[in-house]
Amino acid sequence: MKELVFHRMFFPAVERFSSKVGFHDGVYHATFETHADRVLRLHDAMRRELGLEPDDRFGIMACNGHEFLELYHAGFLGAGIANPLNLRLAGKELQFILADSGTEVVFVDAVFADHFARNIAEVRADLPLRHVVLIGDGEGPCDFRYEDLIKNGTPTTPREPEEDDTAMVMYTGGTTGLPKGAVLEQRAEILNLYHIGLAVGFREDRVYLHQTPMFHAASMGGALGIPTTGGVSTFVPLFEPGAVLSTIEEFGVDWTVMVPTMIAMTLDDPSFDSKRMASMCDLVYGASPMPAALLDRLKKALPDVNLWQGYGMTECSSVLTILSAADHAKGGDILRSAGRPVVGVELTIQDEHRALLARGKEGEVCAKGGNFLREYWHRPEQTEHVMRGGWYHTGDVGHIDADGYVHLVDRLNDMIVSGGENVYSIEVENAISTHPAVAQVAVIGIPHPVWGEQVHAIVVLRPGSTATDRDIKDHAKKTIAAYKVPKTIDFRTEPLPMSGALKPLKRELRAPYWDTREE
Amino acid sequence: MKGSRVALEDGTLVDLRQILARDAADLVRFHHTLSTESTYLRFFSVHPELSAAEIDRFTHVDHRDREAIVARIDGAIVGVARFDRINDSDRAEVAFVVSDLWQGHGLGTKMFEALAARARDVGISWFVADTLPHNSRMLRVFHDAGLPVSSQFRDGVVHLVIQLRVAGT
Repeated sequence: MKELVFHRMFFPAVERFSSKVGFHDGVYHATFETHADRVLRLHDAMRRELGLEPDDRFGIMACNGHEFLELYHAGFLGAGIANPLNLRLAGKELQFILADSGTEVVFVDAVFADHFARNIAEVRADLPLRHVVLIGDGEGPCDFRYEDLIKNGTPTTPREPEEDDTAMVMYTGGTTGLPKGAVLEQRAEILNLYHIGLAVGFREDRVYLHQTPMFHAASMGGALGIPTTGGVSTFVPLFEPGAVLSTIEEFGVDWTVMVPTMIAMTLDDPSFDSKRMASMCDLVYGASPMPAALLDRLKKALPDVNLWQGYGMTECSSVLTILSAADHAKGGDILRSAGRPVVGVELTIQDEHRALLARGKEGEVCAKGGNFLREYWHRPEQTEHVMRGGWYHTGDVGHIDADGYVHLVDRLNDMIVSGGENVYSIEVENAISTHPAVAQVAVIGIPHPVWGEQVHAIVVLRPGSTATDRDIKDHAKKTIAAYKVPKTIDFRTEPLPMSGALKPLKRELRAPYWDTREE
Repeated sequence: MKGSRVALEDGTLVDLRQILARDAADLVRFHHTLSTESTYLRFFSVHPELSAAEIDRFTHVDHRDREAIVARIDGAIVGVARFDRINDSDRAEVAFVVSDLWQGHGLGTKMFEALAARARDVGISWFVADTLPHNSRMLRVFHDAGLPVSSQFRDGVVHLVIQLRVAGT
C-alpha cells in the first residue's frame, strides 16, 4: 500500500496549519494557505505554460528563498523532476549537466540570471533547454517571469505520484572527472525525512533556518520536513554570519544545519554573541570532518544547544549516520566518530572483494537502505559499480567500534573536502594538465584553519616553458568551478616523486603538510 | 623467455613477449589509443603523453630487476605488464595497462601469469601493487590469480601484496 509520497505529508499539513504564518523570507511573510496556493498555481503553470511533464527535468539556480522551496514542493507534487544546480559551477560543468540531464526549463533569480545566460550562451542552441524563468522582480535575460506564472496558474490538486516516481536528479562530482546525476525517488526522500525526524524531531513549534545552499542534499530535511509538519521556514539568501545571527534572533530559530566552516566563521564574527542564539535548540553539522578544537569551542559557546553530526551523501538523500546530542554530551572517543547508522540503514565495512569485515577492522564503508538513489542518470555502468553486490559503496574508509559507532579514517577516492564541498583531485588535475606549459601536475588537500582542507597543486613545467600562478589558475577556471581551482600552487623543477612503475607517490607529497600538524 | 601465443576466452589469439627497445614507436601509438580514464588508472594522473624519459625507461629493462611483457593482437600492442624489483629484495612492484577495447576479456590475467612466471625465474617471491579502489577489473585480476593476496586501504589506494611462491608449488 502506498504511503511514501510527498502528497501525503504536504496536503494534511496545509489543511491543519492553513492560517499559521510559516514562511519568512526578507519582506515576504506567508501562511501555509498562501504557500500552498502559490505552489499549486506554480505546478499548474509549469504543466500548462511551460509544457513540463512529470518526467521532465527542470533546473533551479538561485539563492535560498521561499521560491526555491515552492519549486521543490511543486516538483515533488509532480510538476517535473527538480535538478538543483550548484551556484558555483564553471560554464563547462553547467553546460554538461544541462545537456546530460536533458533539462528543459531553468529557474534563475536576478543574482544568477546574467551569470547563467553568459555561461550557456555558446551552446544554448544545442541544449535541450526551452525556457528560462526569472524568479523575483529583478532584471535579467528570461523567457518567463516566475510571478507571472503564479498569477496565471490555477490552483488544482495534482494526481498523486507513485513511491518509485523520480523526484529529483542531483548532480555530484565524479571520480572520472565528470559530474553524475543521482536519481532519487519520492520514497527515498520521504524515508530520509523519517530518518531525520526520528533522530532530531520534526514538530509544529519548530523554526528552521535555511543557510546551507538549498541545492545541497543537506537542505532536503528542512525543505521537505519542516513545512509538512507545521514548522516555520526562514532563509538567508547566501551564507553570511551577520545575516544568520540576526535571522536567528528575529524569528527565534531553533534548528539549523551548518558545515564546520560556517560554524567557524560565525563564531569568529565580531557580532557573535551566544545570547543572539538563545532560541537555538538543535544544531546539525556535517559535510566535512569537524576539527576537535572547533567542536570544543562550539560546545563552550553554545552549551545549551543540542549538537548533531550527520554523515551522508547526495546518493542517500543526505543522512547515513548520526552522532546524537546525547553522544555529544557523553563526549570522549565517540566525538571523533560519525555516530551510528540511522534507523533502517544497514551499514557494513567491506574489503575490496566485498567480504564483510569484523568490528574494528578497516575497510570501505558500505550501506543499504530505502533512502538510496535508484541510479545515476543514464550511467548504468557507474550505477552497477557503486551498488555492486547490492551495497552502496561510499568510497570512505573506516571501521565500526564495539559500540557500533562508525569511525571514518580515510577516503578511498582521491578527494579533497574544502568548506563542505567535495573536490576530486582528478577534476583539478585534468583542468590544469591541458595548460601547454604543464609537464606534470598532482593535486592534494592540505590543512586549512577555516576550510578544513585547501586545494593545493604541485606543478612541474615543461623545460623551457613558463607560466605563472595566475596563468594556471585562470586556465583551470575555464573548465572547473572556482572552489575547485587550487588556492596555492607549488612550482617544482624536479620531477614528482614516483614509484618504480612510475605511479606518483601522493603520500610523499602530502606528508610535509600533514605530519607536523597536531591531531 | 620465448614469445608465446595464448588464446583469450573468446578465442582471440594474443602474442606475449618481453619488451624490446624497438617497441618504442608501437608503445607510443598504444598509449595514444588509451582513454583518459585508462591512463588515469595506470598513472594515477592525467597522462596523455609519455615523455622521452618514460619511453626509454619502459622499453629498456634488464630482465632481472625490471621486466615487461607486451601483448599484441594482430600485431598491435593491446597491453603491457611490468615489474620493478624493490631495493634488491625478493619483492617487486607490478603495473598493468590494457587497451580500452580489450578490458574485461581476460587479457590482464594472461599477462599476469606470464609476468609471474618470469618473476619466479629471477627470485621474486612477492608482487606488490597500488591500485585505485575503483579499478575493479585490475583488482579482480590480482584476486583471481589463485595466489594468497593481502590488501589494505592506504592514502586513497588499495595496496596489495601477492605471494608468488606457495608451499607445495
